[in-house]
Amino acid sequence: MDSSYHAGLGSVFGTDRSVVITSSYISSPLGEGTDINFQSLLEDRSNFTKAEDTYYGSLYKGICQDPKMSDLHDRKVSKVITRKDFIGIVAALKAATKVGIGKDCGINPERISVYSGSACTSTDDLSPYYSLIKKSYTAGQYDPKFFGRHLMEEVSPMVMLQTLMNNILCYVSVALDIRGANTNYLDFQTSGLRSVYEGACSILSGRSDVALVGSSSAIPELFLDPNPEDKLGSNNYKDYLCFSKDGTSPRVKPYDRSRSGTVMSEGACFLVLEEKNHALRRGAPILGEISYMKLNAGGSSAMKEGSYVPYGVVGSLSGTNIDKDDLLIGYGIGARYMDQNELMAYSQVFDSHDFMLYSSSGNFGDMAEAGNISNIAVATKILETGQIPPTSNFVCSDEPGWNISGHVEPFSGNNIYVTGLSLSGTGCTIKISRVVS
Amino acid sequence: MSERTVCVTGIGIVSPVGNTREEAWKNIVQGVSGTDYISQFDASQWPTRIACEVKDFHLDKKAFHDGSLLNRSNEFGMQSAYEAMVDSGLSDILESKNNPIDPYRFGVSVGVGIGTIAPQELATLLRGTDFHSTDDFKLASSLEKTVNSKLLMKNHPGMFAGWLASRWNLRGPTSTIHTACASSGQSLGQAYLQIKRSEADIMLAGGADSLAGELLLAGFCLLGALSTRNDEPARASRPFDRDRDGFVASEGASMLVLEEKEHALRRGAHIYAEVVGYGETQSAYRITDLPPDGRGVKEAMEDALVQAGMVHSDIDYINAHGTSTELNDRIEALAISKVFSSRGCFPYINSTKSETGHLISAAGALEASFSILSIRDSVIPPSINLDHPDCGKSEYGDLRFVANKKLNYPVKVAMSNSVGFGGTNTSLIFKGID
Repeated sequence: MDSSYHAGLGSVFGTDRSVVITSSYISSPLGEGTDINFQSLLEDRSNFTKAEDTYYGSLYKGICQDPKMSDLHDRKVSKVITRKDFIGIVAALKAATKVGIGKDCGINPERISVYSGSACTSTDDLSPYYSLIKKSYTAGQYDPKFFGRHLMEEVSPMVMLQTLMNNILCYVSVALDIRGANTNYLDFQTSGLRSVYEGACSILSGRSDVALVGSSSAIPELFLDPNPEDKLGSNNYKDYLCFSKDGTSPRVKPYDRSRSGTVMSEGACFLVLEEKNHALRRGAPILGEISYMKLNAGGSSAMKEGSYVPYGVVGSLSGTNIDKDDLLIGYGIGARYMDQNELMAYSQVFDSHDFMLYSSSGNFGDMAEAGNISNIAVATKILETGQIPPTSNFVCSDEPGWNISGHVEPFSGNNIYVTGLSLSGTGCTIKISRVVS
Repeated sequence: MSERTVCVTGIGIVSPVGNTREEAWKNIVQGVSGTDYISQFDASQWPTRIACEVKDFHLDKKAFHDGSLLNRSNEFGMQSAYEAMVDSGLSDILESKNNPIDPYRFGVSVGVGIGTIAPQELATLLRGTDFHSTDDFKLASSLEKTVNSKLLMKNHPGMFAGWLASRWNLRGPTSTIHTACASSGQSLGQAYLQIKRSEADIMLAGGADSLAGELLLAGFCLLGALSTRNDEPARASRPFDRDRDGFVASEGASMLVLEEKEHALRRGAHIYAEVVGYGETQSAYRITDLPPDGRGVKEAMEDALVQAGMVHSDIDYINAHGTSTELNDRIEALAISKVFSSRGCFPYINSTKSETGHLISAAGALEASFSILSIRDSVIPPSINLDHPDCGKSEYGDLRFVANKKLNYPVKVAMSNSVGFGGTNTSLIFKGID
């Protein structure tokens, strides 16, 4: 049996169940809600703000609107969560309530599952400890005993609760009374796609009828080392991030030969997945069907430098038969090696490149854990509107033969593939198909 | 779902009671406590001065080439993964010239802890900053300019799965899970599902964590969750006992090789047990509390029984989550009582946290390993310090705890429970090979 799931592969689970998307919500620097975000993509907008001046030039980042306290189900919760949790919880609640998923909604709470992805604890989250570390230095030497002795006087238990990485999963479950299968993934940029994958499996296998899936990230902890020798995995930061030499907002150029890096952004995206007949019975809108998914590891060093083939992407795409009318939404963040390596993976899988390739990162920036899953929400809007937004700032690829456009293009196909690659080497691909009524 | 059967062909353990599978198991069966005074930092002024630390640990170079890329918990994880891979015979096979294993059918599923940077490392980073600033915001900003990205990646919990895949060139489905104390119960459960669903033939699965560092320990200390029985470390962790006063923080790892049974048989692998059921629920109550009626914990056990095609009388032994906190022990005992009361007598129950303390994200995998070894050796380790059981009494009779002395018993089917901060509950069922 193949390890990938194709349309109708509810049969893998001995059922004829299928999974559709009935709701989505994107929170990004471009705005709140899937419709607003998609319109911004069509208009080729970006919204990057200056973070600081660095050794290499001005550094920019993408920031969401400040979440409103009133969007939380319980204001007290704001004291024990971090910003990434806040953004994620609000996106999840908005996606769910839009299609009537919540307390006393008439659906058995044990038949609703929730799968979240999350960014990890950041150095910002640890800032309450900084002043004590500072005090623990005497005559230029750090004294760990001093730190240990005085830690209890300085730290609030709230800090520990804030650093729990399953906060979104917990608070969303409590707010919506979700009691079914659940978990929380920490798979970097593929966390969101992983949550979609498991949510769909949960429905296909008959364990759930509805799954709330998504991921969030609040990156702008820039952890930038001005030392050019500092490496981040496959990329030197200098090659990874986009710097502006003239102080104007930088241009992120996915797949373009003149690409010079990405802008780190924060955001969140949640989707409601539902068993197709369940959705039809209750009259929920059907935005697309999940008809293929596959997950793989890279199997090579997760922190490799420079040019290499990301086998996680190769593996996750290996079961696809992309047609020329289909669309592939790649990760394409505009970082030199990452784009190049991603295209190398595609070249290994596909003999020809006659299908269209698109990236939203020129507008969103690199939304990390929230990036790839946002592309699924974007895919549903492409199916609905028949319009593919421009791959921002794209003029010419450094490898010939790729069908990428810097303009709005029509889309009349039925299938869109969304693929992602994580820093730890994981690759994941999800296919969204048009549902013909 | 398909009829594929999942079995366990390798087990590795690094724990406060031993840094190998057999050493840890021998001590668990003998009821040896891993709790002692905290040695990693000066806790002399803390309300809690005890923990279950891993002792005399050295990462084997054969396990991983560069320990500087791993934080403390990932070192434990990598060492236990190496032991499991050697135990399963797969390490040799993968390194042989004619390796027949398809790397795209061999995946990784791990449960991990929070993974914060150790204060010592933060201090090193801060040394290069505007250290004399009295403004913490400025201090934080200057830190961000000097952080070494490699150090951050070393401490990112998502990296462990990547390193495992990298170490053995594994290209199958890979996941990193964090649901607090349920993390590695979930990692095993999801690996089981992935083999059942034919996404992989082999999964390297389990968990690693270290709660013995000062930042997390301080947090739990302030929450009042830790035992303060500082004068009697070995008697501090006492799940289900009347005199319990909190859990004992711990660290370690356990990794297991899960394999499709026909695949294992074809290569002549030793099979410990089959994984036959996995239940997973969400309590949807509060982040740190359980619903008083045992909701969620009860349904996880029932779900696992349904998945296994078993009834409650099939279960011989439950390795309970049993943390030694008032709330968990009472509610878990109530949930067990609700699930099993109608069978007439209860399965035998213990909590090996009485010896190991609470490994948080690694607890589920370690306790699953002990459950499987109970089946192998027909022995149930004791719940030590269980002098006055005060929960699990019901109109149907009392729960059958294996208190203070091991019990020689032919365990055919064992259940292992995990209950997490955040509301996630899991239950795994293992069955011996006929």
